[in-house]
Amino acid sequence: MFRANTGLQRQRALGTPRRVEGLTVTPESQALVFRWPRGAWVWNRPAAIRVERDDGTTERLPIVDVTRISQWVLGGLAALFAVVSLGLTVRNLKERS
Amino acid sequence: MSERDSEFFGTAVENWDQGLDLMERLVSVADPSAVFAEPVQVGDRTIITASEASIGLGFGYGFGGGGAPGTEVENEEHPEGSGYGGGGGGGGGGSARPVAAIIVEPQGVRVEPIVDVTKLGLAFLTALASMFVMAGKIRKATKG
Repeated sequence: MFRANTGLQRQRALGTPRRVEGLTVTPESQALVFRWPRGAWVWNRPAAIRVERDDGTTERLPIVDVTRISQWVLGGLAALFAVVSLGLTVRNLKERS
Repeated sequence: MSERDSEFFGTAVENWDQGLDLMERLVSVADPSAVFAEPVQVGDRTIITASEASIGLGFGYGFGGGGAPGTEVENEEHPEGSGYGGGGGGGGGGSARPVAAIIVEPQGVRVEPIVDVTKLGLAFLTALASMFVMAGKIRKATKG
């Protein structure tokens, strides 16, 4: 009763190209799939949009998640503050003793 | 995404195979069509919304049987003082958040990020609070 295809998988997929305003637009997504015998978890995010013009030129516009990046920056700053303050405190205590 | 959600979480799973089928359908959320919306025409612009989607599902079951100690079993098919039972359950959840809007206009194509101010505000307050707590603890440690 246990599934064979368990584990973590990273997928990058291209969607169906669409004609929009004389351009061919193809969405690109990146997914993280975690499967275990009795369940699964999927996280899918848009990675980029590919724009193909009639003259044959193709442009790939990456999609940046500003909210997530800002969250990581804030978390990183808090962690950095904790590490630096801890280091300074340890140094002060050593100097005193 | 909401239609997919209701499809997953409003489905009654009656046996193991149905559970596995549901899980296979869940993995279809990894498809680009799940995160890119249908193009919407607004004036001379076409807008495609790109969202991040996360969905999870888990289920399980158990069964067992037993008899009362010292019970004489007269009829094997219906032994008195014995029982058998089973049960199962499952659950899941999902979330989606807009990440960017792709705007196709006569001048070209541009990607406009969508900033979740509430999420950022909460992250900022959490970071600030953790810094204050840390600073307070350090001050206390250096004084003592």
